[in-house]
Amino acid sequence: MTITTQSRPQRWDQPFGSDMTDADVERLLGIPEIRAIEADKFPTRISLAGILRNDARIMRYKAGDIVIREGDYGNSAFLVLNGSLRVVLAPGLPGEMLGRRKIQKKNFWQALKQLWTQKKSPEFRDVQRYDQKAGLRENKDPGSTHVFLQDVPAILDSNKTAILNEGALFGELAALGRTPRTSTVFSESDSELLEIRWQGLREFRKYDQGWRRLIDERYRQNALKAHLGATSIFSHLDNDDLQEVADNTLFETYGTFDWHLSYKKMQGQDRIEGVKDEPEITLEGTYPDGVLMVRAGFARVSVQRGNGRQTITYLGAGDFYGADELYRAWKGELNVSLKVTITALGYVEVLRVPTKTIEKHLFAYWESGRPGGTRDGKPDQGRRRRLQDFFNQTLAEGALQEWAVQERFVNGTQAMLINLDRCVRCDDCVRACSATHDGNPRFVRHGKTFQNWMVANACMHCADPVCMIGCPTGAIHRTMSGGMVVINDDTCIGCETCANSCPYSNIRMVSIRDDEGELILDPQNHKPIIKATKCDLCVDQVTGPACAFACPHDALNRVDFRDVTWGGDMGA
Amino acid sequence: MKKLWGYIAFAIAYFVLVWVWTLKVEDSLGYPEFISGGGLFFIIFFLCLFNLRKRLPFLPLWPAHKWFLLHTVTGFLALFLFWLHAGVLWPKGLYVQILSILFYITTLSGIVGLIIEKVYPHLLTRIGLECIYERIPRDIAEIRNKAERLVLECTEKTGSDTLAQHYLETLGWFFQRPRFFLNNIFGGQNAQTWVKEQCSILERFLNQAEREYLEQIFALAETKRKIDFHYSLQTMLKNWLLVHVPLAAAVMTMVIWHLIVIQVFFN
Amino acid sequence: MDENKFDHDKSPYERPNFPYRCGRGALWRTPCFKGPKIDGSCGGTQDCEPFFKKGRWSCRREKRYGGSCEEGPGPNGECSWQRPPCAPRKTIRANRGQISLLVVAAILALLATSQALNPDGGGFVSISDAGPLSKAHEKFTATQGCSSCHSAHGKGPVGWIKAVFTREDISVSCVNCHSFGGPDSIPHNNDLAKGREVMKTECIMCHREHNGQRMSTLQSTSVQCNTCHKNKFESFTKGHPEFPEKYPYFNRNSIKFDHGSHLNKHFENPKFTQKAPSSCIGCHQVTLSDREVRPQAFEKICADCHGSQIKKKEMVLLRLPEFMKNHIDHEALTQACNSPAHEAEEEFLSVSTEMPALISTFLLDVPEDDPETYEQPLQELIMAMTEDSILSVEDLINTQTETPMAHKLLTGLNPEVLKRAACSWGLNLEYEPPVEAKFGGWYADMLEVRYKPMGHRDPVAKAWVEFALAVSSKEGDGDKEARAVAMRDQVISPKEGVGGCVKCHAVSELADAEGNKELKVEWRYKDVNNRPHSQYAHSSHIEIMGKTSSCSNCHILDGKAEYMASFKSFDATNWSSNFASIKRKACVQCHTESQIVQDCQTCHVYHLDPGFKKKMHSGNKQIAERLK
Repeated sequence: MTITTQSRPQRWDQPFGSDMTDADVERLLGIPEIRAIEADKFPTRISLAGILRNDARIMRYKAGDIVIREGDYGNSAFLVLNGSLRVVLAPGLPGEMLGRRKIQKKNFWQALKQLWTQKKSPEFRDVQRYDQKAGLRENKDPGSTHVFLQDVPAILDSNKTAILNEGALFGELAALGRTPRTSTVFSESDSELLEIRWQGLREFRKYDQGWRRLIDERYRQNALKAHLGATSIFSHLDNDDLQEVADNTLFETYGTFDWHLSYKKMQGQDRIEGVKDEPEITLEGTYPDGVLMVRAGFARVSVQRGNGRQTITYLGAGDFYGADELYRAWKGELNVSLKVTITALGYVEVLRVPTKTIEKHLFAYWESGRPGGTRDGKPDQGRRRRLQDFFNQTLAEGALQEWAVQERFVNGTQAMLINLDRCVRCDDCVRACSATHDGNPRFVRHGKTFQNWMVANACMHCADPVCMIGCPTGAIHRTMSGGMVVINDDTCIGCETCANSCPYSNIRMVSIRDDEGELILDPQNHKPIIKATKCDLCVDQVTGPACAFACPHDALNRVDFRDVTWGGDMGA
Repeated sequence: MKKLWGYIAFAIAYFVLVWVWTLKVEDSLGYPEFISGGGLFFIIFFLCLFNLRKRLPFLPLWPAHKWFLLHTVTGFLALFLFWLHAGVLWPKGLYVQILSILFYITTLSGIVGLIIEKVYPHLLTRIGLECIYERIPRDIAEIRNKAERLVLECTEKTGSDTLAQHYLETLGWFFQRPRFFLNNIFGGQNAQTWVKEQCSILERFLNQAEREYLEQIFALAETKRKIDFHYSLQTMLKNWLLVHVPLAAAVMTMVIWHLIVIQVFFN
Repeated sequence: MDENKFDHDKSPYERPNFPYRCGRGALWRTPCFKGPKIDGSCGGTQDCEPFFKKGRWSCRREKRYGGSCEEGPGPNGECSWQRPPCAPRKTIRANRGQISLLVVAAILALLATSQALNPDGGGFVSISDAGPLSKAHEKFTATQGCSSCHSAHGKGPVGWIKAVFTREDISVSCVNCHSFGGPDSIPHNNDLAKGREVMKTECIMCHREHNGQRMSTLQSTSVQCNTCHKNKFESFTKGHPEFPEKYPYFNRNSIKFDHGSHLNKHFENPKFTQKAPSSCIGCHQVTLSDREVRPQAFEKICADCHGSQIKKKEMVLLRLPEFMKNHIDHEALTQACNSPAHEAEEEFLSVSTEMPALISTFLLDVPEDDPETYEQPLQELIMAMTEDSILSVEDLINTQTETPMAHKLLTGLNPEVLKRAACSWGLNLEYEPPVEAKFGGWYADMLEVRYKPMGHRDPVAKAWVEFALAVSSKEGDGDKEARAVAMRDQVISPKEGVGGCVKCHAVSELADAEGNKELKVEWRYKDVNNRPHSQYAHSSHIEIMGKTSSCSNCHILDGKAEYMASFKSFDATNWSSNFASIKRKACVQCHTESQIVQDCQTCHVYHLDPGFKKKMHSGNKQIAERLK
């Protein structure tokens, strides 16, 4: 086997904006929000000017252009340089207006119709459709293509909006918290925005008091209280207590935002080394200083075993750890230390609720004997097992889990897991997929294997959908109901951003064809028009995922690795 | 397995029901053949529906794995109903004899198919490599090209054509296309033995540099051997249906003609 | 293998629904990435189609297939990666579909050819052959084929469609040849239900064809019988009704043979023990018997003791009775008798003091005890006898019955003897026969004309018994009828009647075809022929149980039975047998589970008089023509 070597990617190898000039940087250093930053607090390696040059870019929008869309995942925040923008407040704009795919479950007749309406030609597209599609403001750089709203006055009439003026910062919470954008922002007049990618934003927050205060306060105000109130351990608190917890909670991010890029590059390298490189959140044997709650991303839970680390489970959004240890210490037990090491898998946003706050608001509540609040580890609900249960599993029992964590399959909520001991390689799944997608399969029945398990190359509908970061038109998005990740073929411009982002290679570009089976070419350069395609979990089919429905041997299942434990229900 | 027992219980119940009914009809001087024949036809029709179901994956017609279990169980059920209906293993009359032989072969091919579908996946998993059937020609061609490049490189770099000679004489045959088909489908080890032998007999004629090339070729041959294994087994997994499905269509055709004739002559 | 082989830009979708695959790949050479086109032609003759812009050609190979090639397009815009086209193959699935269609088409073609070449199903090997016919049926269907029985055969598609919607009972074809003692399609071919509603039967309910050499007939078990029979039971042992009270001795014997007195009295008598049979089979022929076990002939089994008795029982036809006056014309008499003239006596004193024979008083219809009334007709008869001898008696007899019987009754009566006797009697003399009658037959002696039976089966004696019964059965209560009865009682009297026939032969009142009741002598052994649906084989039972003593296993003498008394009346139905009736338990001893069969058909016969119709030959053309 030939080993390809790859030097570890360096910061600023690839600047955010390719055309940032020194003049631009100078100009930016002059605007009030940047001027307020104390440039000398920054380390020389990461200077303010360097951040502006490499981690920011100036974007210009025409009137009606959508800047961010509700539901998008973004890795950047925006600072308004000039012009005015509108935030569409709840209930927001309809999906089609944002370039989303219109999703409607087929009825029986429509489902049956697929029998004869299927095209012989692979990847057939009715080009006529594209001419009627929502407005696209195309750009030389496909990454800067904008979707624009056709009738701004009408939208202003029918929707509640708020104005964002010069100097306003927006989008930072989604960028740092890796959560979907909560609302749509569009440019009311022609406008100029400074787009700062998450790396730059993090540095700002890290080294500048003013930005930190600004970001943290807005976070506490807008998101944290609601988030805490929804967790199982704080659901009993009233508004004031919740506010107090929120005020005291620290939030931290670990790992790199675009972990998928480095992860892909690291593939094929020593995996064991990879574990050691993961940023540590807590360390086995140390004293707990608060309850750790994962707000977004995944964290590996491991223990030392021999000369290696055994991954016993992982924490995902909503999971927390440390309450049990703190509680025992509070009750007077001596030398209570953490039993596990928690490291970031990719990018993790963690909330740390300090010991004092926990003691006051949770343990006192437990003592009162009132119901509610779970004592430790993972929320004790459904099929999920408690952290406790994982300590005793043998290496063999934990192997699949360990593998899934290693391969980041834990990210998937609908991973296609095939039991190879049952699979007769009949391809009924692929044919069913193709039958439900106009004659085109939307996955490849190959993929990484472990023992008798194969995770096929089908979209896993990740909890952390990195593919959605950077889609210029919002063609790839989560459905409003169900949260499936789908691509709107009409607005997909074939920029390949999503396909390249997907760490699992589950998005495939296809050259579209006419009904004769001939490629459809771009008249400008005769390059084939390509589109991103992937599994949409048969979101418009009555059967649910056709692949699993069509498997005659019950070998193929769509699973969430959170639910999969060795010997558990994997269709085994 | 628990689920399977449910289906088996259903099949047994169905058979008993039809059987008891035929006995009852026989006792009241009726025509039990109509009952057993009706019961059999319904099952055969259902068996054929499985194919139709596979063509309609977009309709909410029950998950395919349940269909498969039912298809399997009712396949056996059909055999017993056939015996109940015919009353003998080998009926008289050319037409029904043709029908019977087709039915028996269809059933037998189904049983063979069932066995290989239950056994082969384990063998395929155990070989430790996965490949898509349609890509096997490409994979083999790729391996062959690599092997041939290595052989050429070896000759160029070491100036010795021993390896090349051996490749031309012997190894080339193996890389040509999938080999050891029959041996593979019975789970034999011939391919492994052959590859090992052909590489080891060459070893003593090679120097260190050449041996490194041989090792690489051996590694390729091993991969090729595994792909061959996949090819053989997957071919079987696909081709048993080449018997089963057309004959099932034939059986259904003849059954329908049989029904027509019965309707006309034995109304 | 390549770590990145699953990458999105290295591994495009596999399309197993596509019906073609690369022909190069099929030959195990490197398949091209483009694959066949949708019409099945090769799509990979070149890697890209270069694009001409701004005065130069540029490569348009897609990135995932390697991107622009080093070589670049040729000067005329041709791709530098050219290959000859391959011949794409169909995929296994596509082949499978085609083979399926082919197989179905082949079968349809086979059926169509068979139908077209062989519309009547004869001769040519037919694919629609439903199975070989039984030996019995295969010959007559040889020429007409299937249509011999199946009416829809050879009627074409329209006929077939009609046949689907019309109910056809193949029994209609069966009864073209088969005949029964009753209607074809009612149970048992016999109106046993007497008006109650019963199921219509079809032959194929029990008899199936196309099963080869032997016709398959359903074994009728109790369940099948239970279909119709209301009295349902499981088997002969379990639930079968008790046999009728008199079973199996329903009808009075035709021969009054008192087994009781014979076995217990006469055969024990030292005088007869020598002659007595040692067991039942001494008289009954059992080895070949089915239901009936006939006794052997009179001569064999009865004559030893009873043979001589018959001759002793003579009959008096005429007797010269006592007359008060003589009304006979003396001259005419002597002339008729051609006798020497005698002087008529002054004072008439009858030579006889007897009463006239009952036969003669019946014939002349005169009282036997009033000489004044009977003397004149009787003397006229005597006078007529002297003149016409036998004819006068014949005339007299023939007037009594519709069919003249005199010839039979007077067979062997010598007219000369009769005339002489009449001449003697006319002269008021006793007739003196020239020799004494020793051998039987008609003879005249002194005052009588007598008949002496010659032995068993004497036709004259039989005729007289029948005559007596015939004339006495006329209804009415006048003198004539009373005389007939008196005459009959004498003739059929066991002790006095001619030959003593009725000592053994039963006289029964029987109905003739029109329902008129008549008295008949049961001359012959009477078969039990009014039970057509049951059967019994004595022979096989005897075979198993042994010849000598096995009869008494079932036939047990009933000492108390008033056997002979039941013959006193003419009513044959009211009688008691010598033997105790047989009960079911006797049979059940052997016919029971795990022993000997107890199927219904062991004893019961389904069909009534199964047979064949002459018409059946019409099926065979040769025979039909010969019959014409």
